[in-house]
Amino acid sequence: MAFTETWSFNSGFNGWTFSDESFGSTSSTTRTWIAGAIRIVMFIPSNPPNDRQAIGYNISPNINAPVANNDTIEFDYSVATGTVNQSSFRLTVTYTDTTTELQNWNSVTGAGTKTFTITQNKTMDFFSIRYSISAGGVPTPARTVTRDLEEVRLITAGAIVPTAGLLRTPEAFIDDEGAAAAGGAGGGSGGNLADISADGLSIYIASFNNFGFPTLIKMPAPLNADGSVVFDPGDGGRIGVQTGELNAETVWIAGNFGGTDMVEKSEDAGVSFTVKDDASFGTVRTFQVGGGDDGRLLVFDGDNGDILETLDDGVTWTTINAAVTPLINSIARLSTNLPEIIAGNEGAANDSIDYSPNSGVNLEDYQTGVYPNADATKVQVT
Amino acid sequence: MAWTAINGGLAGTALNVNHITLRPGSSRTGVINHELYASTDGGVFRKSPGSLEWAQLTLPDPSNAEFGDAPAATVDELTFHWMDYDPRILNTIYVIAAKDSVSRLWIYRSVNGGLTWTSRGVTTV
Repeated sequence: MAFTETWSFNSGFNGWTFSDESFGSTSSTTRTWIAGAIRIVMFIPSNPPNDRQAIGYNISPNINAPVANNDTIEFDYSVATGTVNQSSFRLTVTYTDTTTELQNWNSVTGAGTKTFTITQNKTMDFFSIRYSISAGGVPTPARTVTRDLEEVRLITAGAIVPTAGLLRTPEAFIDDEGAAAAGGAGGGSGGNLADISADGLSIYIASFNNFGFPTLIKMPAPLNADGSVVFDPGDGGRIGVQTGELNAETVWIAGNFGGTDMVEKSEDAGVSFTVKDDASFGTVRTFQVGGGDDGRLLVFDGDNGDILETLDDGVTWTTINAAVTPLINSIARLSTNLPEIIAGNEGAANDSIDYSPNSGVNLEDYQTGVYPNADATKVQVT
Repeated sequence: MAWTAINGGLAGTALNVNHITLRPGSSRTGVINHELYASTDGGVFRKSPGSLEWAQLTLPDPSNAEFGDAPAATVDELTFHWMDYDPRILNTIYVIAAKDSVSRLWIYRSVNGGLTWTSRGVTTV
């Protein structure tokens, strides 16, 4: 029996980090996330003498997983676009004893899958994939080329499980997400990273495990015992949590789980979760439970610029804004007057804070020039 | 709606405010006595009612009993994120801290409004 850990990139960069390895002073390399892939975009100037560009991907450095001889790492890549003279991949595995092993694939064309076979019985610290491209001195006009890395799989004979205690905050997704995608993190630091139950007995913490996958941990509020994992979809890239205001058993989570943006709810303090979305969400950027009813939820869909609302525990969802809204980082509503909503927005071209008197149908500027272009990452009403 | 900046006492990385929470309170005479707390990249701060200045709270180095890391993390290496108060005990406050470079999370707890704190590494059994 083989076990497979899959990084599908359906929801951003997961726990991957990046390091540029640039050769040639006149080229530029950028990376972005598109749906289902990490895309490298390289600009090559005209008539480069011998210009190369390379970029390395590094999986979370604390993957800390034991692997064995004949385990494999596979990755899928798509057709490069633009005129490419030479394209190559290098996969390097680094073990916790600092030794490495690697494989090069040169003159790579088209689309396909590459497989790397591990030859060591050791604990893997991390692995990285480097993609490089060369103009090779051939006189050509300036051009832009791209290459997509679509999926990476670690296939092992023995089961590999996340390491307890290797956790990271999911906040980085707002910054890491590509410009092509409007959405951000459900679990951003300004929003839904953690919450305490209504009875004050439990704290729910949204995090990434050492594979870069979303994980929800429940800890006793007195901090007198370790936590327990109560939600672990095994893939995905975002997670945020908020407990009910009234019922201590109510826990809402939202994010990208297994490649799908969704909202789920537990009514038994995290023992089980039930999907509550209508399968039409784009990237969930922020959400807010209440007020005055644990079955009410506001969700900001960053891909579509929509505020979605359910008043009936997720049975029905309604898009309540009249037009595409600014990019909302945080949202709150007055429990004493439900139609009143406050939105904290990403700055730039937006107003930092908006107010709606009518359940988000219309959003009005709620400031008088103070920090008009600042990012409002957290709004709260009391 | 007019807004007033209340950044006094925040400087450097502390201006990267990650979360705020308002701890409801009242005095024995019934005067509303809310306190505002902020978690930042540069520590945890409290703003008392009527004050325009934030005061940094003193947090100890995070617990290493759960991890046994060498070297152990220090509080100056942490960024502070979500924070909230216990809905049953208003003097009890929680804050999540992270040292992402080594994939560690902690939760800090104060039972006296931020005067003293204890911490525990976030891990699972």
